[in-house]
Amino acid sequence: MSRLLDWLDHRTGYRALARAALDEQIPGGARWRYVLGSTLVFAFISQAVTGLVLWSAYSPSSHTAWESVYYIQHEMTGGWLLRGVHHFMSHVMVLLLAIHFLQVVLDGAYRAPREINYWIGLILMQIVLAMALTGYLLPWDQKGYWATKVATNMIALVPLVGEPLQRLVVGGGNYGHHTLTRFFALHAGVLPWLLMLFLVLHLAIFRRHGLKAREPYRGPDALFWPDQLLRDVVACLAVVIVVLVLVFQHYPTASPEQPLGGQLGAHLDAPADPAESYSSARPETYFLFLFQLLKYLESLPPVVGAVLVPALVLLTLVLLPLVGRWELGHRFNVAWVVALMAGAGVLTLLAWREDHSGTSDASRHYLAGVDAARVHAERAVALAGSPAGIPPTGALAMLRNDPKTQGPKLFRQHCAACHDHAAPEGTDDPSQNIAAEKPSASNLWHFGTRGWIAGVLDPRQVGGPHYFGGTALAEGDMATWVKDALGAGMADLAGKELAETKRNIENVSLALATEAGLIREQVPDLETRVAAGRDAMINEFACIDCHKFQENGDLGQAPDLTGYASRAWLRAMISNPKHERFYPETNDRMPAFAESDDPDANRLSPQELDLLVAWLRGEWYEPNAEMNPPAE
Amino acid sequence: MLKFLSWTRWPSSQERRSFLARFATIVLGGIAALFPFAAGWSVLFDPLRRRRDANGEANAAGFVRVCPLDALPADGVPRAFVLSTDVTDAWTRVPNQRVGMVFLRHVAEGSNPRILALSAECPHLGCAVTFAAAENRFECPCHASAFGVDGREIIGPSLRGLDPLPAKVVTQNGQQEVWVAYQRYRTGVAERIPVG
Repeated sequence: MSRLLDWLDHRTGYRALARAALDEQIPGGARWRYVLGSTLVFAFISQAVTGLVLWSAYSPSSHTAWESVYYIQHEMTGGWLLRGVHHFMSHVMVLLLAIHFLQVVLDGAYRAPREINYWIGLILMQIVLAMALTGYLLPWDQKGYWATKVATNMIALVPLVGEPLQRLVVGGGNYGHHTLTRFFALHAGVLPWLLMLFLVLHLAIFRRHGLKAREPYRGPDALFWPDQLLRDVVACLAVVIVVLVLVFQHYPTASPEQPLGGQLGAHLDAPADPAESYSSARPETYFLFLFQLLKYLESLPPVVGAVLVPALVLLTLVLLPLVGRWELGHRFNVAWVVALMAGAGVLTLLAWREDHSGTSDASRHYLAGVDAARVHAERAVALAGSPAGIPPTGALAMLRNDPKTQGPKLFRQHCAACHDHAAPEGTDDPSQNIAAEKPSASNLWHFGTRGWIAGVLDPRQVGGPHYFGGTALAEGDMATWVKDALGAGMADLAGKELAETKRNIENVSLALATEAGLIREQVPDLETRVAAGRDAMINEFACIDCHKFQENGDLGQAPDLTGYASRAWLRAMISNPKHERFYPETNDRMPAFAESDDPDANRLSPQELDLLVAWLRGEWYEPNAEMNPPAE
Repeated sequence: MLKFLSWTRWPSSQERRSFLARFATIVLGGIAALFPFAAGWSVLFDPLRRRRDANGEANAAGFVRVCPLDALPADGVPRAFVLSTDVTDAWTRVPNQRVGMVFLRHVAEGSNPRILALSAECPHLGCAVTFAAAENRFECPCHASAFGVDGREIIGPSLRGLDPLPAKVVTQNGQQEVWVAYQRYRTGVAERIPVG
């Protein structure tokens, strides 16, 4: 063995190389306080390795970035672990960098003859921050998109070169494919190579001047290997443990039935959507102080807070070695840097508290935004994992075709001036619960289902706010008939006759809900009851005196009950409620949303109409649901 | 800090201390160095665990409709057809995507139509073979393998003939249609080993 090593050494001289690397003098002996530089090198190498593996699965374009990151996080084995390690290591790296910087200043290690190495260190700091900033955008999710947009808009504020510089970084005037390809080239190409270059210089110059030992010395001089290196590797393992704790921070509350990708590691927001406001956009934690500073400098021109102040602060940092030539100057430097660090810390805390206090309107708005974003992100992930999956047009198109996501928006925009979509208290998903601005038309919650129809046929409800209360129909024929025939008429009945009439009303509800195709629960004897309900509509209750129902009755007086609340019926009704099939005489306010054959002339496009109808009928994909609606 | 490591300053035995320090440094340093590789390992080797790739999906779908029977000449001359099926390509779900090419021959067998389906993928190294009508044989443009009209190998480096695919005639809406189950096999070997 030793002969083999001799042979190798003779040819390569590796022993001298290893000795040169390992026999570094540590004045005053090995100490824990000297480990920071090594942990930073370790963090960088770890980022390079995990980053390269992420690269093997990442696809930078605005139609594939979120999708490929989704695939890493939720589909690939251990992808959430890899992404989590890369994400949280970047946080730890910025923190280590700040401590390293503070230590260099406190120990006076920036002073002659180490000025140049200090300046190289400042460059390295800027590179690391730039890598953190560019990496934040790459998943192309909502938070990265909106936060980075702010950052690139700041670039435009730089005097003279700002606008072209911004175009260069963004790859054009707007965010798109080239924003991602350029950010990716910076993040995984330009910046790491620059970092390696300056890191080599930093280490070479560091070795030239030796370690700036902290006085007083604690013991005799020692060598880097093994005593200091042991401390260094223990510190690196501590970094690993901190990162793993951050990756697994939600493990105690994680549900064992759900895949871990949705619960551990770095969060993936919904896909970036320029048309979807995102009120909880914030930069990463380590940039929060700048974010907060901008809020305080609001009265000044934007360029001051975004460019001038940071640039001036950086300039003072560059000048530290010159000021530090005098002992008094050194003390001033220490005071200045400690003040800056403390200021940044306080600003970060203030930013965090303003958002999370829950006591101000702004904070409540932010927290609601965080909640909405979480729901939106979960929905995007659920759809991406559905059998239909992500279409070739990308996850954004997938979300825009989702009735559950789009329905509430369309309803708010077009229907909620008058209609409620309000669930009975304490039920269902609050995101689907919409109160009308001024409720003055029927509540469309579960419209066309057996429960909804039972309400129309209930004398106490038909004239009430959930049905015809606010409309011209409140005193109309239907309400009158329900009150007279069913309300007053049933008051005279008792015993078996009363029970039979009640059951017949239920049968009518079932018959109409069958028209809608909205009976999803098990009903015993459904077919017999629906047949009885149809018969009651024609004979006992004579609905066909006013309504058309299948081959019976005529159009023109009251809405067609054939296929009532079915997809086709709803589409036609919303398109033109004044059509003779619906309310030719009694429609008091509802506009025709798609009356024209020319889709451009209508308020709702055919696709929007389909989404709205599907949403009103509760037809959307739900993971783990026993039965999902068939695609049309 | 970290009192449990105080043996590194054990005063009694300089040598023992130094050995322990070296040993611990190498072990702990090794663990730290392996950490990023360990984090990336399972993602890097994910494809080995994921056997159902795009074409595996096509297999699961089984037979897909290719063409009406009368699109094939009755005299058994091969025609090339594109096979389309729903494909899952990593995160993208593509409906009706082209997955491969197949040559179909209508081989009359009394009144019963019989279909011979041959994958157009050369079993040598996967180039797409073409049908040379003049020679009445299939030829590979890459390495000059040639196959008879029934798929048997004639000359060239291919170790086996063209891969036959399961095919059947289905009557649907009064029309006779050809359905084929697409399958890819490992290239460059004599046996037919399914891929996917």
